Amino acid sequence: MPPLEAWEKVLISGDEGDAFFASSHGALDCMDCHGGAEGGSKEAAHEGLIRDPSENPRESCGGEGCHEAIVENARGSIHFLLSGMRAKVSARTACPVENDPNLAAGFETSCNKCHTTCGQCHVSRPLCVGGGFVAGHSFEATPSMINQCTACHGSRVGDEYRGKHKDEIPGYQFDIHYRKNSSLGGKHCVNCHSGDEMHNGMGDDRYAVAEMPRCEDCHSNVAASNAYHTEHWGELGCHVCHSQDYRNCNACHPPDGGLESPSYLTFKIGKNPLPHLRDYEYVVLRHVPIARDTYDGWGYTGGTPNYDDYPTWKYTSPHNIQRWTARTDTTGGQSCWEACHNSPATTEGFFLRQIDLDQLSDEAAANEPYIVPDGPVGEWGD
Amino acid sequence: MHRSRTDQLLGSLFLALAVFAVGCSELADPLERPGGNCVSCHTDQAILETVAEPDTTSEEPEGEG
Repeated sequence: MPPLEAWEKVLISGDEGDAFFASSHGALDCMDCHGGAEGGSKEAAHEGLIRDPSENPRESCGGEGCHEAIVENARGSIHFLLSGMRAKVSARTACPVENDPNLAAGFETSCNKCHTTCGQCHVSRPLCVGGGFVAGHSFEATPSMINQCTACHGSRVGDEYRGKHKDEIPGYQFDIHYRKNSSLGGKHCVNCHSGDEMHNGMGDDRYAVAEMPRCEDCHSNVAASNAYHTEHWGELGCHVCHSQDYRNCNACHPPDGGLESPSYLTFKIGKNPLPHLRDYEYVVLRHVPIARDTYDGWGYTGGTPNYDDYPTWKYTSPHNIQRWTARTDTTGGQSCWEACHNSPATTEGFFLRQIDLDQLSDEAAANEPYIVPDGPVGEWGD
Repeated sequence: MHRSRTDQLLGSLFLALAVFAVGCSELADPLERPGGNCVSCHTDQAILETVAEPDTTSEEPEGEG
């Protein structure tokens, strides 16, 4: 995403500007949404300016005769409230974020920067990346994948989807759904993630969002398309076989405390930590660690008494799908199960095992329930 | 009443100075736009290049994926 000069972020000009002024939004008086004052210098005109009116969606976008219905749900959505992240912080600290001023302030500073609003999906780049009009202040029904969706969902989803890891893994490919010539019409996030999901998706975990797409929504007739699907359909998450390596975190946002190590690419299969939301037995897990003292830097003194109760190897859906992966590649005549079932009990193996937890200074207990036995798959039993 | 040549010259000088003062007041600060509105600045690249301040909040986040 190329950077914008300060003036570029607020310039309304050219064809895009003309289109905006010809639109219903452009016909409004700027001050009706943005406040400010008439005339004078920049400082005088910007007195009381509201940079993003949609921070208060009921009074702006949801005004009478406008988008009331959408706003009533969207203001409670997981995107607007970051309710998923908020729930995780509250769970580990055993303290609702809003109940402690230090926790609330720290969350606002470190986590909530990716909280989004109507405007940051439909008008400008998110504020967390400096803002700036995407199309000359036009209100675009479909957000820009580059300037909006992956501005926030960038270092994992965006990079994986566009196959950006070739420098680390030769031959790394973009997600098959990203293909320009895909019969699906490919490429854009909204092909799978609808406005309905964005506006109405609520819950304390993104996998609790009822409108979230599932592979089976489109691939509903492949359960018996080959021996591997017949054997494992419903037992294994689709990503177990069809995901490439993906980015795993090792640093947290708080300025003090927490973890400070570089992220890394790996692939790990483990037991499903969200059986109440997804009924697979084994799924792909992404390392999203947190240190016990992560929130100390926020001035929060309550610590994380529930630290061991929540895994740091978490259910994930890497956006790097390929038909042929290290699990499914049968080049040379080997079957899929040979690569997978005999994967060694090493840190390079496909499965999350005790040896992986042994590398973690303090996270072993939190992840113990989700590792698999050390032996070959055939010896695991029920 | 007959005006002296001196009076005429002084009057002309005064008029010229007045015109000059008014003209300078228009040129002194193009960013002062009494009665102007948002659009007159935000559609003018030259104005914005002069007054826009770098955003210090920019940061590439490690986004959820």
